[in-house]
Order: sequence, then C-alpha cells, then structure tokens
Amino acid sequence: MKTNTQAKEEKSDNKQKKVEAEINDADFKPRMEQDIVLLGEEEKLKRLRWSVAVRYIMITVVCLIALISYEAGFQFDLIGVLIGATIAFIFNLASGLVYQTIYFPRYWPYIGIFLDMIVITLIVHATGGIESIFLPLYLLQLVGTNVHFSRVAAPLNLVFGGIMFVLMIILEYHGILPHNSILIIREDLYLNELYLFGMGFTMLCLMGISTYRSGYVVRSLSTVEAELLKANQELIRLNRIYSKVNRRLKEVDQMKTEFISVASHQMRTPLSATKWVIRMLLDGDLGTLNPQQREMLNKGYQTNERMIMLINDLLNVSRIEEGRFQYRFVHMSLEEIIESVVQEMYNVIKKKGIKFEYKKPKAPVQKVNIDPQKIRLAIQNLFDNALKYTPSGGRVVISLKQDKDQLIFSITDSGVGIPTQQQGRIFSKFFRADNVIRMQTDGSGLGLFIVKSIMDNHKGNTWFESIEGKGTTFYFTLPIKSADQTNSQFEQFIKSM
Amino acid sequence: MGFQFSPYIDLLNSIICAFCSYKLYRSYQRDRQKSPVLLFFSQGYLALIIAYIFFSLPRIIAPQESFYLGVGFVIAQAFLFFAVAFFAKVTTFFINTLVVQRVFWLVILISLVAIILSIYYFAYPQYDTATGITDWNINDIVGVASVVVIAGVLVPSMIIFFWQGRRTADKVVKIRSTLIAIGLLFLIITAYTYYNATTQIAVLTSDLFSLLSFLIIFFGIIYKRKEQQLNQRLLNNKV
Repeated sequence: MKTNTQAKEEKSDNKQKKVEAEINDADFKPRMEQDIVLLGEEEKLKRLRWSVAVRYIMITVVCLIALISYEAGFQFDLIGVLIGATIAFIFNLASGLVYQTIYFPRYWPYIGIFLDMIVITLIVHATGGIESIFLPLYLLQLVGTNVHFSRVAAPLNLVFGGIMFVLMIILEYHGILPHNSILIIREDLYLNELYLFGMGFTMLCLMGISTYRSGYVVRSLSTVEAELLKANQELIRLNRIYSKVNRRLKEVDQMKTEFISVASHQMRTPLSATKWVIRMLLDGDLGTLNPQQREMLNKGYQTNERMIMLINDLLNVSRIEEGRFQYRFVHMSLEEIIESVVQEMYNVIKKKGIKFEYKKPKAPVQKVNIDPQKIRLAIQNLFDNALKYTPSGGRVVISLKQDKDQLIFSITDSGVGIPTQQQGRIFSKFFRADNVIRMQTDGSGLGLFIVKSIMDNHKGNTWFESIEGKGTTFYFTLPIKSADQTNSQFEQFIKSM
Repeated sequence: MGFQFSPYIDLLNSIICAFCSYKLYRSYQRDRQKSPVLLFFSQGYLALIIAYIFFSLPRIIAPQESFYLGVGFVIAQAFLFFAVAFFAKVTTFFINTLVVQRVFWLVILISLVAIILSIYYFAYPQYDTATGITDWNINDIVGVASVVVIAGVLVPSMIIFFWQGRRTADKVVKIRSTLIAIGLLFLIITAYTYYNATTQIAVLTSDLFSLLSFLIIFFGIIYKRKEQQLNQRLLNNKV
C-alpha cells in the first residue's frame, strides 16, 4: 500500500509530465509559426495604418503649399490640384476603414500605390507639368512604396510612375493636354526639347536611384528583421514554457491559499464557541470555581486566544494573496491611531515592567490618506513584537515625525534583535528568526508580512535596523498630502497620452 | 498688397491642434478610467481648432471686410477662452481635484465678461495692405481680461508640467512633460509678442512662435520611446 508521501510524489510527477507533454505536443510548432506569421502581418498592418496617416499629412501639405503658392503668384490650376487631393482623400478614407479590419488586405494597398502615382501626375500637371514644384512627390512615393511593400512593388511603381510622367510631358508637348505655365521661369519652357529631355531624364534617373537606394536600405533592414524573428521564435518558445509552468504554480498556490482560507474559517467558529464557554466558566456563570480549576481554565482561555490570533493572521494573509484585503482610505491623523494603540497596550507594558516612551512630534503632523483599521493592525503588530521580544525591564520607544512630504514612524526596542544572516527574510511569510524560536514565544511569523503589505498599499516604505542581542528599530513611512499620489496621477496622465 | 502669412500659420495651428485633440481623445477612449484629464486636454484642443479656424479663415477669404474680420475675431476669442478654461481644468486637477469645476466656471465667467465687452465695444479690425498686418483694435479692458485669463492659466500649467516632469523618474514622462512645458512657455511668449506686435516682422515672429509651440506640444504628446513601444507590443502579444 502506498504511503501518503509516495502518493503525493506520484501526483506531482504526473503533473510535471502533463506540462512537458503540453509543451512538446505536435501542435505546438505550427501554432508558434502561426503566431510569428500573425506578428509579421500585424506589423505590416500597422505600417499600412501609418501610411494612411502619412497620406493625410501629404494631402494637407500639398494643398497648403498650392494655396500659399497660388496666393504668392504661381498660376496653378487649383481645381486640378483639389480634384487630385479629393481623389486621394476619398481613397484614404476607404483605406482607413479597410485597414481597421484585423485581416491583412492583399490587393487594396497595391491599388493605393498606383492610384497615388495617378494623383501625383494630376497634381504635377495642374501645377505646371515639367515646371512643377511638386516633382519630388514622385521620389517620395517611390521611397514610401519600398518601405511599405514587397521588393517587386517599388520597381513596378517606378515603371508605372515613369510612364505616367513621360506620357504627361509628351502629351503637354504635343498640346494634347493643356499646359499650365506657372509663369515663373519661361512661358515656353515646356516646348524646349533640351529642357524636356534633360529634366525628364534627370527625374527618371532620380526616381530609379531613389527606388534602388531605398530598396537596398529596406532589404538590409529585412535581413536584420529576419534575424530578430529567429531570436523571437526562441523567445516565444521559452515564453510559452514559462507561461505554462507559471500557470501551474499559480494554480497550486491558489489551491494552497484557498485551503488556508477554508480551514481558517472552519476553525474560527468552534474556537469562538470555546472562548465564550471558557469565559462563562471563568465568570462563574456555571458555579464557583476552585483556584486550581480557575488556573487551568485561564491557561486554556489564553491558548484559545492565541489560536484565534493565529487564525486571524492566516485569514489576513489569504485575503492579501487573493487580493481581497480591501482598503478604505480616509484623510486623518496618524497620531490618533498611535495613541489609541498605546492606550490599548498599556496594561501589557505595565505588567511586563517595560520602560515605555512615546516621542510625540514637536508640532502637529499633517493628516494623511490612510485606512485606519489597516494602519492600526500594522502598528499593533509592530508594538506586539517589540513587547514580546523585549525582556522585563527593557525599553520600548515609539516616535513619529514629519519629514518634508512624509511621516516617519519608528518603534525601537531593546529586545533580542534579529540575526544578521536572517535579516533578509524577515518580511517573508511564516518566517521566525532562530533566536525567537529558541525563546519559545508565541508567534506565527505572519505579522511583519502583513505590516509590509499594508505599507506597500499605502505607498509607504518599511525597513528596520537591528543588532542581535541589543535590539531592533522598525520604521515605516507614509506619504503626506497625497503629493506622491498627485505625481503618480500626473505620470499616469502623461503615460496614457 | 503684402502677402499674409499669419492666417495660413493659424490654419496650420488648427491642423496641429486637430491632431493633438484626436490623439488625446483616442488615448482617453482606450482607458476612460485611467486618466479623465485626457478628455479635458482633448476638449481644450478641440476648442483651439475652432478658434484658429475663425482667426484665419475670414482673413484668407475676405481680408478687406472689417465686419467679418471682427465677427471672426469675437468667435475665435470665445473658443480660445473655452480652450483656456479646459486647460485650467487640467492644471487644477493636479493641484486640488475638489475645485476643478469651480475653477472652470470661474474662467468661463471672466471669459464671458470679456466676450460681452468685446461685443459691446465691437471693434472693426483694419487690414494694412502694405504690411499684411491685421490690426484687431482690441478694446483695452478686453485685452487686459484676455491676458489675465491666458497668463493666469498658462503660467501655472507650465510650472506644473516642468515641476512634475522634474520630479518623475520615468524618462518618457520626463521628456513628454518637459516638451509640453516648453511648448506652453513659447505659447506665453507668443501671446506677449502678439499683443505688442506693430511691425510685419514682429507679427511673423509671433506667428512662428505659436507654430513652434504647438509643434513642440504635439511632439510632447506623441513622444514614445522605442522600448516603451516594444513593451506595449510584448504586452499585446498573446503568447
């Protein structure tokens, strides 16, 4: 028959095998490749959406330049420019809608690049043909095509654009298309063969060079991209493995937290009942007790109280881990809470013969945004620890002061201190230093974990200084006047732009 | 007839404001809970678009028609004040959230007084054909009220953006808020030079300052670091 430990080990092995099988399953590689393809398409789609924004900018800039130049004396055919801009604008609106879809459109972008060439030729024609100040638009278009599309698209666009451009100057030369002379250089410039040939040839050469150079840059970037993609594949694979393992660990952790929560709740009810039964007995409700009976019941009562405290700590920890530790912040004075905790602990201080001092701030400190119940719990825990680990006749000092934009609370004791090598684990769950375990004092090792969590949620800091055998000082800070909150709100505002 | 650069620069400003407003509204829509201030900021830019359109269009379409220029100016001023009121909301949000609405209505009230006065003392702007400068003939009280409202909002805003930018450890936030603060500083310089400009060069300088300030703010709004983009991509990546 299997022992409990063997059964647990077997179960754990099975889970591990299940995770490995999920990672190595036949479906994993195709899924990963599919992810990469999707990633590539998503990137292309982003570039296309960006090209829509660029086209809007270009339309605006061209219209503005044409308008200003017209005002300055260039005799443009403004209607022609506006028709071109309107065609581009309408197409861009449609493109914007098409690119909103999650699927990568195959043919639409190609319609766009050829339509752009037509619109550019229209604008160039309307603004003076071979004399136009918008001739560089051809170059811009070719560079853009190289960036956005495949290796074939840019040369195709070059051929198409080149034909459009040459056709336009030939048609203008033969008078088939009316020439809009901009009257800046010479009226008959478009009829000068030498100029036409020179300018036409230069433009075509520049268009070719632009296509080649930008194409080269884009190709070299693609090589780097391919290398990065390979590295990304490996990262995706590792990420998947870690995600699965992490998910499994979270499940186990969740199960553990749930178990603690359920067990604690189940235990608290009978413990409370026991507490009240013993209390009734001690109060004499069920008859007079002899001194021996009273002593025994007192011991039982105290043990029961310790159990209730432990259960409460466990419940708090499970709430913290499940994110159910709700905070209700109010703007109030920290001094009030400290004074009420001191008053509450006064009997213990007196009973233990501890020299206690509360160093109040010289001037009243500012109010802070706190959850009074939680802060009270944190101070109680720190105070309780200080009293517990300080021998009779020792000293405990509480201090509160204001420093610029924060309140600093400290509690110093002349107790047993924390061993240097264990100081790094002091805020961990269930951790108790060796020297306090040896003292056989009560404690769950959960108090400081709860304190740290509470302070973190108040955007405060928690730390300590300790020398073993001499004592410990615990500190925590709380931000004042929500200056930090304002800054974090501001940061959030700027980041979310 | 001197060529007027000013209305075209104003038109360009309205386009930049449109980009800013759109970008901010998109960001606000992405996460409404996270930063409601984005909406105020976006609304401020929306009002500025209309203000700059009304500043520029009458001067492009009918530069010689004093009446239309005057009407356009009053409408533009109204929207400018509206924008300032929204920016006041943004600034106040980081000082005291409880008085945001009160400050907004206070700015609106002062603006309303200024607008009523500018209608009551309706001025006919004069277009100088030689220099291309439009003299708005602004009433003294309206001028003072405008300066008080604009400076009263822009100066604290600039200080807040500078100060908060200095305090933060996040580099992107630091650069963004500093850029916006510099943009606001240029905007204050613009307002000052604009109300004191008498020569064509002074008007042009003021216009260029306004363009520069809106461009800087625009870059502040769109600025994003490579690693931030990468992080966002990784976060969106469903692996």
